[in-house]
Parts: sequence; C-alpha cells; structure tokens
Amino acid sequence: MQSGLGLRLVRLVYWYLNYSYIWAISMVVFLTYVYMYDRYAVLSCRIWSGESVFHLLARASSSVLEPLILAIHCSLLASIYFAYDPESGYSYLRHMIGSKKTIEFLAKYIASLILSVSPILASKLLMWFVWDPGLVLKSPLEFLCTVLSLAFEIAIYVTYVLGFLVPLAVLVRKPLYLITAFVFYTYAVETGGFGGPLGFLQIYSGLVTGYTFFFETLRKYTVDLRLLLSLALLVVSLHVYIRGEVRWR
Amino acid sequence: MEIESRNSEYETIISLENVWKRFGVDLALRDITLKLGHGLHLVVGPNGSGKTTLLKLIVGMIKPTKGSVKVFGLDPWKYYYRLRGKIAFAFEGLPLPWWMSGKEFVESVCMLGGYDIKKMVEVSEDLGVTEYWQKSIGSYSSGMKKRLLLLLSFGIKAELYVLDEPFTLIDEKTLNRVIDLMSELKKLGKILLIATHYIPEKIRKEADTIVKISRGSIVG
Repeated sequence: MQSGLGLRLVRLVYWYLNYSYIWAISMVVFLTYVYMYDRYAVLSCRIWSGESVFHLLARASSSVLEPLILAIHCSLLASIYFAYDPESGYSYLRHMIGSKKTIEFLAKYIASLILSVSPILASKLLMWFVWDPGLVLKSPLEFLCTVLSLAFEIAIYVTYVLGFLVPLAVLVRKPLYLITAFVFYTYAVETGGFGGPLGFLQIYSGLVTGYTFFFETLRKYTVDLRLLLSLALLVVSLHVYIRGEVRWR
Repeated sequence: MEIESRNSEYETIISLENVWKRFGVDLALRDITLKLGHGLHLVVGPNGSGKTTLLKLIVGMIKPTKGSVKVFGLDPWKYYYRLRGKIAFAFEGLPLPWWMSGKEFVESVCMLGGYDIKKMVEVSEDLGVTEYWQKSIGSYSSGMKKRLLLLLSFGIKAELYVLDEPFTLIDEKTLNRVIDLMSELKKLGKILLIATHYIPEKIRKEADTIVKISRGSIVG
C-alpha cells in the first residue's frame, strides 16, 4: 500500500538518523560540549533587567567555542549526507523506495538538524539541572518555552551554516577534503579578532547567547543570509536536477 | 540498428528512441533505438560495451544526453518515483549499507518502500539469504552481497525486473534457483531485462529477444 508523503518523510528521516552510525558522532559531540563549558560563566554573566532566569541560564551555559564546534559538527553531517552518500552510489535507494529527490533532500536536512541541535541542547539542559533542578521543576511551562525557543534559534544557526556547507559538499564531493578544509577555515579565519566573513561567532552570539531577539539578528545579517541561501538553493538544484545521477564505484 | 521484441503482439513496455549517453568525453551509448514488450530479454556484450548504462537509463538512474526513454509510458528519469512497485532492479556492485545486517536492510527497504515483507522472507529462503542475513553486511563476501541484491529485486512484486549480471558470483545451487525464479516470473507474464556475459542454456531457450551491444551501439 502506498504510504503518505508525511509518513514516508518520517521513515526516511529515521533511515538517515541511523545512516553510517552518524548518531554516534552526536554522542561524542555532546560530551565535548559538556566538557567545554565554563561552569562558573554564570557568575561573570551580565544580567539584563527584566531577563528571565531561564534566559540567563541559556546564555550562561555556553562556551565561546560552542558555535565553532557546532559548525564543524555540521560539516561532518553535510559531508556524510551530501558528499559521501551520493558519491558512493547510495542514492539508488531513492529509486528502490520511490522517493522524490526533494523528499530525500528534506529528510537529510531534518536529520542534520536533529543530530546537530540535540547534543548542544542536551548539554545545556544537563547544566541547568546540575545548577538548579528545583527551578526547572518549579516553572515547567517557562522551562519548556525556553527550551523550544533555544532549539529554534540553534536550528536557524545550523541552517545558516548548512547553507554554506551543503553546496560546498555538493561541489567538492570528497568528505575528507571538505571536513579538513572547513576545520582549517573555521580555526584560521572565523576565530579572527573581527570574526570571519561568514560571522559564525557573531551570528551565534546574536541568535543564541545574546540578548537580542532572533529576528533582529536575522535582519542584521539578512544580506549574507539571502545571498548564502540563494547560492545554496542554486547549487543544490543544479546538483539534484542536472547531475543527480546514481553512480557507484 | 533498431531492435523490436519477438513478442510484437504485446504492447511496448520499454521504448528507447535515438538515445545517446555521454560521460564527459566518453560516448557510452550511441543512437540506441529499442522497443521491448512482455517476455524475457537479454542484453549481451563485452565489458564496457554499455549494457549497464542501458539498464541504468531504463531504471531512471541516469539521464540520457540525447533521445527519449519511456518505460510504461513514463520518462523514468523524471518520474522514477511513479514507477515504484513496477520496476525492481539489481545492479552489479551496488553499495550496501555496511553498518546494518542484511535482515535490517531488507526490513528498512520494505518499510520505506511499502513492500510486502512476507514475499521478501519467502524469496530469501529460496536464495539461501536467511542463513546469513543476521550478520553485518560489512562481513559479507561478494557472493553473499550478490544474493542479497538479487533478493531485493526478486522479493518485490513488480512488473519489470531489470537485472545486471545476475548469473555471476553465485554458487551453482543459487544459480539454478535464480534461473527457476526467472522462468516462474516469465510464466506469470512479467517482463525481464537481463544484461549478462554468460547465458545459461535454459535462459537462452526462453529468451524472446537477444540484444547485442558493442562499443555503445546495438549490433544485433
């Protein structure tokens, strides 16, 4: 029986979550985030008037290197899903199960979001519980709202990074080259005094750890975003509809 | 040269008109015109003659550089997802997910594609895949991988079976079973398109069409 589009998407996301044991990397990244945190950052964190305790916790449970680790994690996901998968010929599965190219792309994007957002969010939640479990349990609704908004903000940041990485993965096609080049770039360029051209640190700070509402950050970087997302869309469309052939070695 | 199936009383299922396929500077297929209906069809030719490329065009895995390909009246490159459940295929050397067991992969394909798992289990017992499918695919030999790939085509209730080199890498017992399965499918009115170097006698006798390919062109 032909299953619905939504159900097929959910099943395909499930497939990509287990793809090549890629979830195991998320566990390692989670431990990295936990290890990285400055546990006393909350003491030096400036408190804004009217700021909720949960928002303060969200800001305080962060590390300076967090956006860079997240970007590198995204490069790994992009290289596996958008370089290794098509270049090794695994796209034949699309023909075997009758899934559209757009659904396959969407499933890979959703799996990337889940795998990249969950470790960082989990590590923050762990910190919150360690700091003050009572507070979390006292206002469950506020806690839930903060978690959802945090997840949403991190997801926007991941989308921004993937907007750069996915077309690169499609063009480079070699996962090892992509990851190496991206790690060098992130370390050498993005950590510079004024930030790199892609502004990973600034955008993350604006979206997640800063006190600015995410729309403000998006407005501020709207030109970059528009340019990057248009480029990503163009390259991915070219790949999917012009090349997009199933080849294997 | 144009080829038409011996079974001309049946409707055309696979139709290629003036198809060219280029990979970079290499011409893999040159001006192929082919019409095939129901029955068992063989595509034969030496290595690098373009047999697999022809089959990949029919499944919709690659796009023709020039010309038109129609399968069940649809362009397989554009509408391969509409042909789900109509075409089953097995290609030589397709990558298998090394991170899972054969059984898990078969179950995943059934879940993702909405195929009948019972049929898969039946055929897997026939091909002897159940003996080892609990093991990780990463540990399979070439023959075991080949049997798993054959299971993923014969285990699907389709109209058209596209098989690339189905007689190689497998032991004699499996080979005989594969030949029997092909005969059974033919009797059920299914279409079989097989690219091969080696043609077993029984298959040669049952073949409705033998398409000979050399250097990307049909030669007979």
